Amino acid sequence: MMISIMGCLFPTNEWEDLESDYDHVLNVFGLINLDPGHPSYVGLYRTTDLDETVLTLVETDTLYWCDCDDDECWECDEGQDGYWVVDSIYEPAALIKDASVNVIDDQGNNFELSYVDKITFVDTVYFDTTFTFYGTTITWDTTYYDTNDFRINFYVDTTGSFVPQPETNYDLSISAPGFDPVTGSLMTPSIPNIDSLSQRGRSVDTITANEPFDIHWSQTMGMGLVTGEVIFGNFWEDTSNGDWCGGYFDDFVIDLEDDSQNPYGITAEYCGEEMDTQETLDYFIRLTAMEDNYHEYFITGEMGEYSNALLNYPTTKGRSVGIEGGFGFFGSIASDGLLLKIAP
Amino acid sequence: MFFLRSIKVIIFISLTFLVAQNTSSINGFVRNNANGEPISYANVFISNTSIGAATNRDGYFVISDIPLGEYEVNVSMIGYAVHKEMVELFDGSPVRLEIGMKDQVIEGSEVLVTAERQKFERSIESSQISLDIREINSAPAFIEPDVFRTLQMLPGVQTTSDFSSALYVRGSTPDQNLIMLDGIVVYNPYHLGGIFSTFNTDAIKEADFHAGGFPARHGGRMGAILNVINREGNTNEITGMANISLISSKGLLEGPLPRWRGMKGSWMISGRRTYFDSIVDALKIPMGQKADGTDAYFQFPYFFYDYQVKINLDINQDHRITYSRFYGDDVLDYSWDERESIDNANVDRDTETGFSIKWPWGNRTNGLIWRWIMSPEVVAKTFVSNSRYRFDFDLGFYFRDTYTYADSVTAIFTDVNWRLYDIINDNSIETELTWKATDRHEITGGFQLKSVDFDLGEEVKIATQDTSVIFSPLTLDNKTREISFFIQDRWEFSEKLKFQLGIRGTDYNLHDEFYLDPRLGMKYHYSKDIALKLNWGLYHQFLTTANNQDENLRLVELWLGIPEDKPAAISQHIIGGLEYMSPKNIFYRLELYQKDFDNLLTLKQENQNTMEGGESDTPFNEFWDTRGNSWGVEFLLKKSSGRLNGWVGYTYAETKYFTEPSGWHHPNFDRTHTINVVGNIELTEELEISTALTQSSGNPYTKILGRVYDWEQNLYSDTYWYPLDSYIVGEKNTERYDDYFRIDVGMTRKGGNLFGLEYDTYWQVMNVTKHLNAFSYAYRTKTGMNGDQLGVERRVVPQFPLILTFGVKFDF
Repeated sequence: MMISIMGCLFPTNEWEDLESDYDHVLNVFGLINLDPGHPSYVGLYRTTDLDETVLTLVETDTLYWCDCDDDECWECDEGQDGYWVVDSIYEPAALIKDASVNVIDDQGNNFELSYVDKITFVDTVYFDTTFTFYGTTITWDTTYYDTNDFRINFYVDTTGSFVPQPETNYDLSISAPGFDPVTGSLMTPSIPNIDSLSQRGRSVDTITANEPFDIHWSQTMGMGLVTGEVIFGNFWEDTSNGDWCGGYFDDFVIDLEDDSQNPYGITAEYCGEEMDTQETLDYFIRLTAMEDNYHEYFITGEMGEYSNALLNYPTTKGRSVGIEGGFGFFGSIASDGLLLKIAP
Repeated sequence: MFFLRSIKVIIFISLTFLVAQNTSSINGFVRNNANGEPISYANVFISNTSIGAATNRDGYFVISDIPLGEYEVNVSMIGYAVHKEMVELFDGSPVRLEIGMKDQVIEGSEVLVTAERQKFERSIESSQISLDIREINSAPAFIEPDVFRTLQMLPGVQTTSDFSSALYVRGSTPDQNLIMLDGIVVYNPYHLGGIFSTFNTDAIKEADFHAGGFPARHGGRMGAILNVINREGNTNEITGMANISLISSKGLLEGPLPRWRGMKGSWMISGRRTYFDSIVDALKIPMGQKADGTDAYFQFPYFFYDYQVKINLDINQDHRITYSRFYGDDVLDYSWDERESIDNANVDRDTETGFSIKWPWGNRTNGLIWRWIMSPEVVAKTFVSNSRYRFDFDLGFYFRDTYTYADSVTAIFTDVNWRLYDIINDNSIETELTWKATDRHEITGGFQLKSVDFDLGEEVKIATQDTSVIFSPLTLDNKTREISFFIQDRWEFSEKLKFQLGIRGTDYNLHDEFYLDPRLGMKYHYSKDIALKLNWGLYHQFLTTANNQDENLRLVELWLGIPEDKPAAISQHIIGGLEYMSPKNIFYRLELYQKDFDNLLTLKQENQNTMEGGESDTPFNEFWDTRGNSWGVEFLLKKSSGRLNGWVGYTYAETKYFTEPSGWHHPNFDRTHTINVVGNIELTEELEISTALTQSSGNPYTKILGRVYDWEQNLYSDTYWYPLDSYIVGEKNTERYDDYFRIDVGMTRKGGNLFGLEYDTYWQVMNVTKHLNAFSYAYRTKTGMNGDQLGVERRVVPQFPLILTFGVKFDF
């Protein structure tokens, strides 16, 4: 009755579909990564309309059998033995796969990047399907070969010829059918170098969790982002994870050219006087040097233009940093890391 | 006393040089005989002459330069019987009159002296309007009468939605308005996030509203001025009223002070409290058990209350002391806890978890006003006041495990407490001196010393069995001090041409600059019924609010003094107007205004939390420098007397602000066309019908165009970036919601009698036509059966639906 009364009081109000009326542009994620083993790549998309499908199911991948006796398999219905865990793989409708993407260095060398949708790994998967039935042990064929696709949907150098260099100018040129061309440019940063970490004025290879420490680096150009992480053997299974505290700190940015900041004091999260664990863990400190575009896009960043709690999405006016003709950015980083220990 | 006498003597001697010895003056007060309330704008004149004056808000008048002789003083005002009194001026000594006027019902066809006509004839200021309690109550309101809701029906006043009673006046945001109660500033005059104003209408005598172009007497704000004047209290007998509406109960008592050594006075106390929380408590809806094992019941954790006190003490005929106090709080108080016990062979474990929110916010004002009639022509008023606004949000969690062994007890606990607060403490002293120097000049001057402590902060407390930590991620406290001087001259150059010239100077302690605000007003009486007005002025402001400019619903305001590195905000007002008072006392006004704003501060939104150089950005001290302008045309037709009364208003307005990221844009309160009709008709002596209609352009909003990937980074041991699906928004606030339309209807039935107690019943229906007015849009992405993310759809988030309310008001 209450609902009926409320229905009478409120005016009719229906959901309405929205349409777009604007010119699409290319949307670029271009990164030149100087870290060994980390690829440089360009992700290429377009802006989408409000009335179009933006994420489409492209395939499903069977991952593993989840046995209902296992506590982690919590989706079991009553009486059910188990179920296959399937990964649904979606692809953005905004992906541009047929563009010509080139990176040109300041020597005029042209590197053409090719679209790669996925990298395929072949895993040997063992399922323990041995069971006992009225005293008889039955062992089934338990070895399967599973293809594990890691979708990347990026433009990468597939020839191995593109080896980015520090302090070098690179231009980006993108041409995609139906869109205005996009160009970009940047100068890669210098390779940063962490000289040492010190605590109580002495260089250390083990950090005491409850005391501040200093990071020392070699002076170079640009800005650097300092991050730190306590590394557990296995985050989910390592029981020390739950007992550990201290050592964490918020990312912060330093001016690598400013020697007055060197060394820089880090006051990590303070821990209680006593920690349950006495285990010493790995502690990884990374210094990531950023060129200007990267710094502007990810650090100084855009202030939000408009907010509405009912939008359910973040908003942007469309950012272009280091590129022209589209949205997105073209940036570069180079990192140095130091693996040491942290003690309670 | 010697000091006061000396000043008085000096002024008297000075004045005797200015005033001829063969003339004298008549001054005094005009009050309602029934309750002693002063009558403003009563017409006091000497019969068979053109010599006269109108009473001011205190009911005070002075007629100077009257040749010696015997005269009949004639006092008239609509609603009262004409008062006539013989006065003899036999030497230069002024004559003081205490005039009491008797209520009288007057037929509508009679030619009347109305307050409207007196105001029309006297006022030089543009854009000023006074609403008496009858007019405030005449507009149907949300559940109960509300002075702010009534003001929203006036031309030039806009709002963001039905859910807000905040006043957006001619392009100014609510923080640019100076809201006062009996002359004492109130910082956040709202209850329930702005749905109700904090002023209880039962206690109000009248509300004086300046939409712009206000004189040098007022400063420190650059939008509008609203001074809500409370009733003084009945000087004759103890009376009262009670009002019960759907959400609250209100009560008022007033009466005379006991006379002592020639001193007399009056008092008034009123209060209000919502009671939905008490009703829910009384229903005892079960909600399990508390930690202590007792039964838990559903709580409605919110209520608001306020009370007002006013005491007037007339020490003698020249000195009056008034004490005024207001206290109003919204309180959100909720707590929940749970307890679990597990008994084992070796150890018993008790686990307690809990959660609490304590959130009081509101205002408290205390003021002492000393009015001193130094001579008939010189009146001094001194205000000493304190105004405190407090917003204090306190969120707490706790977890406690107690292990009881055979020979020992061990406790492990964690208490986490998060507090966000904004406390303003405003201490002011100000004096104004009004000197009717000659028939043509009335000079007002004074000073104000205002000291304001702003304390905005965030505090986190974490306590465990081993340690406790307290840290403050945000601390923004500043102490500001404004010293202001002003002088203004109301100059009647001729019967037709009048000026009001003034200047206000302010020293702000955080800045080196001395700020000067010149104000000019001019009025030309084309005829007895038609006047042209022109006002110009500069207005500086030394405080701002740190709120998101796009928010539709403003629960609280976070106030800050203008910091050292930011200039004071400034606005220029230019207002031209044409006024016509018809012989039947219907007031017509057409005004054209233009306002410029500079040095406004707009809070930056969604500030990133990345620390750069070790310094943390906070969302409360990062602003975009903003400038803006507004202009508009307003028309008002107002009929204040007769069985049919009310007003019709039309506004054409355009407001634009400029910030670096958004360029020039309309703020979200900007409505281009607005028509307001407020009508009240007395069908019979017992039955009154009122209605209010508003039709306006929709408020602006920012349209979403499409979707795009933005990227975020997460750089730890593995470097990676992830896309963030975002809406691309168009130019800021270039779209508008559909037109707003609402009709409210109210009915009051008077003259009920219950066991000898008189009562009125009232019914109100809001949004009679159930018009769908958009508060905002809600958006969602449609998802297909297989998980595909399809297009985007939206739905209107509605404002008020049809709402029926009723209440009863008792008089005793």
